Amino acid sequence: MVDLNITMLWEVVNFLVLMYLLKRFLYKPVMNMLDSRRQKIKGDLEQARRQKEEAHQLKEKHQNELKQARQKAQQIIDEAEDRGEERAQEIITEAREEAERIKERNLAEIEQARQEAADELRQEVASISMMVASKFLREKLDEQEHQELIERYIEDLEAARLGEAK
Amino acid sequence: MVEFSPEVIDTIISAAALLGAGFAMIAGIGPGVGQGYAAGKAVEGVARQPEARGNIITTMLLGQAVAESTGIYSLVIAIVLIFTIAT
Amino acid sequence: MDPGPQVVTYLFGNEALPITDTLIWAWVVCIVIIIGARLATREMKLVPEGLQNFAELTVELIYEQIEAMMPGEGRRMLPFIATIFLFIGLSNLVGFIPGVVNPTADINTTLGLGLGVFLVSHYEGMKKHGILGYLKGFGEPVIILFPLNVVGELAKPISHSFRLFGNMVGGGIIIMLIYSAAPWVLPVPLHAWFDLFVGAVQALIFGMIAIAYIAVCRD
Repeated sequence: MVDLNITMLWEVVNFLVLMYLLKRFLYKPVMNMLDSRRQKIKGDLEQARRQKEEAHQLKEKHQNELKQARQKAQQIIDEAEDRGEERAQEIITEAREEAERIKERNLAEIEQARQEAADELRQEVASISMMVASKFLREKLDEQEHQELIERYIEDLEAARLGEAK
Repeated sequence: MVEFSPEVIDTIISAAALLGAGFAMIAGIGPGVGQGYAAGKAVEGVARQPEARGNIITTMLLGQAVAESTGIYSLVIAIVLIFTIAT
Repeated sequence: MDPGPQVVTYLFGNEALPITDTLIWAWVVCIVIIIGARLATREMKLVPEGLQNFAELTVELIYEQIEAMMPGEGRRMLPFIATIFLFIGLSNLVGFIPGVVNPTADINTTLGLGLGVFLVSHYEGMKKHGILGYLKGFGEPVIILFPLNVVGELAKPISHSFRLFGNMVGGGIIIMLIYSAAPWVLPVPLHAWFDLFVGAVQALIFGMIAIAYIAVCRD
């Protein structure tokens, strides 16, 4: 029942052989696998972390770029607005000057026409007066009275008619 | 002096060995009490901290197995008496 | 009727070299474990499946037990401790099959393993502290206790191996008695109790105590 014999040695040898074989077939591959899995998970986590960081940086960069682009666009718009404003002002000024010029020219033309008309009228009146006067003179006026009469007539005419037209 | 025949002597030895085996098993009281005490304490522990149940039970079983040693010794002695001396 | 290991044959016909049924079943257990290990680790995958899962779980659990008691020594002690767990575990469980004798219901098996643990633990202690430093540890707390400590140390493998042996053989004897009394009904739950529950618990305890002995010697 409890006799000790040589089988104890066989059992121990048995155990040692089993230990050697299991070390080769079980513990080593399993531990290696656990290690490699741990390494892989660690590597994956590290990679994920790095990628996240990269993505973050990229996002920041894009945001910065976007901001810059927006600023630039705003600047361009502002510039264009300024330039447009300037141009409009210029155009308005030019138009105003042109208008002024046209007005002045018209006024000069009018003045000239008036002058011409006045001269013509004066001549006409003079000739008519001469005609009338000669008619009168032929009747009884002397030279001196004749001249005074004409002068007075013309002055009256100027005061009455041309003054009004002025 | 009374002379016994060898058969009678064998019978007496067998009887004594079997009786001795029975007495040896009295040692079973010790582990019984000890294990019961351990189990009671474990119950108290589980009642106080139900979340540590698994740990407590494992520790209790380990402790009980160690406490069982004396009972097992008596069992082995009883087995030896019965199966190697009494036969 | 002797419930112990039965001699089946003699090696080379020599009376001093008996081959017992427990030894044969121990061989069978070893072969089964090796085949199982081979199947589990034949093609290792990063994502484990089936047997590989089981093997990894078992090895890792044992590894953690060692690491808990001896930090940093898990990888070195793993083959020894894990082989004890696996061999004794399966040896205790095979008794569930009728007609199979537990290899651990033989004092030669358990005492062999117990002495193995004894030698390994003292080797580890001497390796850690040096031979003189280790021997000085027996003189604690006073030098008079030296023989007592030595006897205590020598009792360790005996109690260690007899605990397993007694449990397994006691269960075997009770089952044998029940078989002769009521062979059809009662043995099934008893088998479940003595071979599955007690077997598993005793294997666990044998391994844990082996770890504890080695850890104590290293302290």
